[in-house]
This record gives sequence, C-alpha cells and structure tokens, in this order.
Amino acid sequence: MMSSNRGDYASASEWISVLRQDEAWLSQQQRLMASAATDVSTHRDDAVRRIGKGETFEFWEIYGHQVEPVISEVWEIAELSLPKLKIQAIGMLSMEWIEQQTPAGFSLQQQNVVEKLKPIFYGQIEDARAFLVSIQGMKPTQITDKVNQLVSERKISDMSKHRDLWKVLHDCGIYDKSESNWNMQVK
Amino acid sequence: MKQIKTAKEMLEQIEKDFFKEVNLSEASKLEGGELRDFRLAQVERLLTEEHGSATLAIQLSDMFWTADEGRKIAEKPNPLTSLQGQQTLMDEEMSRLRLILDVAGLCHDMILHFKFDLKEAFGVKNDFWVTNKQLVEWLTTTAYERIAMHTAYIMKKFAISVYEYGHYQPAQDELAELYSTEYHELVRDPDRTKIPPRAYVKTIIDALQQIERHWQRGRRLKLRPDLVMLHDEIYGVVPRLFDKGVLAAAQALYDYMDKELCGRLVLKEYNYNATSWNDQPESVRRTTTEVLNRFADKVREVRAEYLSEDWVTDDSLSFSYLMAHAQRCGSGLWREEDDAQ
Repeated sequence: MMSSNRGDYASASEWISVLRQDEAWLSQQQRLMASAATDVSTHRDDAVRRIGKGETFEFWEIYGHQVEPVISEVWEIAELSLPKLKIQAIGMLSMEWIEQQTPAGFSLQQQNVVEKLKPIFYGQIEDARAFLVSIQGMKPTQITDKVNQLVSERKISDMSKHRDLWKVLHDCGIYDKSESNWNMQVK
Repeated sequence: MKQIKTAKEMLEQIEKDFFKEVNLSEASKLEGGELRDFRLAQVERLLTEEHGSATLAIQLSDMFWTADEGRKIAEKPNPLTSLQGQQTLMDEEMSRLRLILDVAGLCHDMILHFKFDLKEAFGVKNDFWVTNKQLVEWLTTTAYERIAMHTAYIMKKFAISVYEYGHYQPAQDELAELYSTEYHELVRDPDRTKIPPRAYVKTIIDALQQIERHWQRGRRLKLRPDLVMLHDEIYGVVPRLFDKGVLAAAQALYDYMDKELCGRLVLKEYNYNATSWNDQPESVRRTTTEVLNRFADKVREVRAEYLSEDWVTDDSLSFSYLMAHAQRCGSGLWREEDDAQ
C-alpha cells in the first residue's frame, strides 16, 4: 500500500513509479481491460472527472496528455494533498490507457464522435467507425448520399437518420449545412 | 568591458526607470499614515504597470533581491546594496534610496507571495488568517485593488500551508483548486487571472471564511479535531454542515483508530534514513500493509452500516483521505490537541 507521506518519496518520478505498482491503479487497470469497447466513453468520463478542472487539468492539456511532466509540475507546486493527486493521477493513467487502445490514426475527438454515432448504427461501433472514416473530406451531398446508402443497407437506424445523425455530424464540424438541408437530402 | 555603475548612477537609473515624475525627495520626508499611503500608491502602480512581459514590481525587486523568501541580496553587482556603495551617497540620496528599498521590499513580498508586516504596510493587525477582521475589511474596501488581490492570494497560500501542516486535507485541496463558479475560472496568481479584482478577493475571502466557520462550528459542538477531519474526509470536501449520520460513521472510525490503530506503525525496524519507501525493511512494509488493510476493511464495514451506496467507494477521494489519516494515526499523529495542552 502506498504511503501518503510526501517525505517518503525522493521525487515525483518515484511517486508515479510506485503508483503504477499500487493496488489502486492495478485494479483500475483491470477494470479497463475487462470492459467492453462500448464502455469506453463511460471510462473516459470517469477519468476526466477524476482529473478535475484544476491546475492538474491545465497541465494535462499543456503537456499533451503526458502523465509524468504533469505530475512533476503539480508535485513542485506542492499545494495539493497526495490523496487528491493520487486520484488525479489514476484519472490520467486511465486516459493514457484508453488513448493507447484507440485505433491508430483516431484522435480522442474522433473517438468521441464514434461513441455518439454508435447508437445510430444499432450499437455497431465498427460500422460507426468505418462511416466516419469514409466521409472524411466528403462534400455535404456526398455525405448524405452515403447516409442514404447505409440506411438502405440497414446499417443506420431509420429512426435516427434525421435530427440525431445530423446533430452529431454538425456539432463536430463534419456537416456544416442546416438541418433543413439535411432533411431534404436524407430520404 | 561593461561599465559598472556607481551608486549614484544606479540610483538615478532606478528613479528614471521606475519612479519617473515621482518626487522621492519630498516623499522621503513623509511619516506615519502619509508615508504608508505613498508606499501603497507606488506599489499599486508598480504591480499594475508592465514593461515587456513583466510588471515593474518584479523588475524592481530583481534589482535588489533573489526570488527567495527573506530578501536575499541578488548576486549581480548592485552598488546600492553594498555598504561601500551606499557610503558614496549624500544624505538626501540615502533618504531616497531608503524609500525605494521600502517600496521595492513590499513589491518583492507581494509579487512573490510572501507574508509581510501588515501593521506596517496597511496599518491593520498583523495576522494573515481570515479571522483578522481589520484585514478583511481593508481588503474588501481599499482602492488599491492589485495589492488587495496579491494579499488575498498570500492569505490563500498561507491557509493551504496551515491546513497541510494540520493534515486537514479536504480544506487544503479546496483552496489549492479554488474555482470561481461565477467566472468559470480557477483562482490563479493575480497576474494570470481574468477575474475582476473585487470578485477575486471576495472569492478567496468567502472560501477561507466558510472553511473557518465550519471548523469553529465543530469546536462549538465540542468535536475533536480528528473527528471533524474524519467527517469531512468521508464527504471528500469541506461541507457546510455536520451531518448526524456521517458523524456517526466518523465516530465509529475514530473509536477504531483510537483503540486499534494509533501508534501501530511506530516500528522498531523503521529506517529513518531511508530516502524511499522501497528502502524500508520488508517487515516494515509488510506490517504497514497489514495494518492499513485492516483499517480499509473497517472503512468498508462502517460504509455498509452507516452510509448510503456510492459513499466512500474504494476508488474514491474520500477513501484515499481516510487511508492517509489512518497512516498518520498509525504513526502516532493522533489527537495532537492533547499534546498541545
């Protein structure tokens, strides 16, 4: 069991190294490994909640989601308690693990979009992912043609092909036309 | 070869760069409240004006001292900080220098967030704790808004260090990550915030007062400090009330810690020269793990008996706080109020 006493560690690096062997992180890692791909967004939300909105989160963004330099910075400031830092570090390690599982070439943002598309594709994450890849760089009418094709192939839910699907693609900037335009094109 | 300035030349340079159009000669004759007002007006100006990317306050401080606490003389040669250099100045020049050092000193403490003499600086009681009503009144009404922001920030840092020393971790963390819900921003260093000055000061003062009120409420209820901390650790934050159910849970843990845990981690084999946990003897690490695992089981038992589902889950901050408290208790850091008497 990890010591909560800062004086028991020579440095931030030592602390993070001990944390990676600690039961708290190892059991979290087990949970991540045992979960289905469908649980990714839940785990991601949980990790973000653990990291919080404080300075740790800001360093996390500045350092491009690298755990070690973030911990070094927060350790140096020495205002947060070790229990709090431990929770945040487990959040960051969880995100690190999740991002390593993300398919090559898929950014975190794209993975988020896939998660939102999944229910529209009857829960089929691979179909959602393939669709997202296929429409990269397409013009609006090409996108709606693709959607019509996938609806006819019963890969996209008929009930979700209008507003639900439009909103996901519009919010992430892939389809910039209005909902009315979308509804005119998607049969 | 770079010409080293004389004390007189350095004095003139500083006056030109930092005190243009300020009659330091006249000001050096001020006393009491008038001198205090002059000093504050200058510090306020220096904290506000920038040259390049830094405020004039930090640049002036750097002319004389390092960034360490206690005003350590900077290494780069400055004839104004050496006795030899000062002895070349006339009396009137020395008076101006003393005033400059006075202003620069307060700039140094403000910008680097070290405590300073509040009586001398503001004419209020010299105590950075939020119970100092004179200080709170001054900070919330003064026209010197930058000074108020920096002073409030110093109060926050001081409180964090006090709570850290007292192991009151929910309070320590609340202040370390203090957030303005009104401005959707962390309460950062005053030079890195967009929160307006009055709101900035109010956010800090309010947070400090709420934590202090909660602690004082605990004292009025005659709750022992460790019990108050256990209660708040179960919450995971400093709550604004004492919940009976949570107190009951906290009391159950308190009783266990008092009887079964206190001092159990004070081990003969403990190596005080070890620089890391892994360097402790295996017997120390094994005993510590066993003792803390038993406490963890006790937490789960108390959780099941007294608390709703989702409280103090094994992976929660609350659980971590309680384990840290247990470790300190095991090491003998328990009921420290008894030692203080």
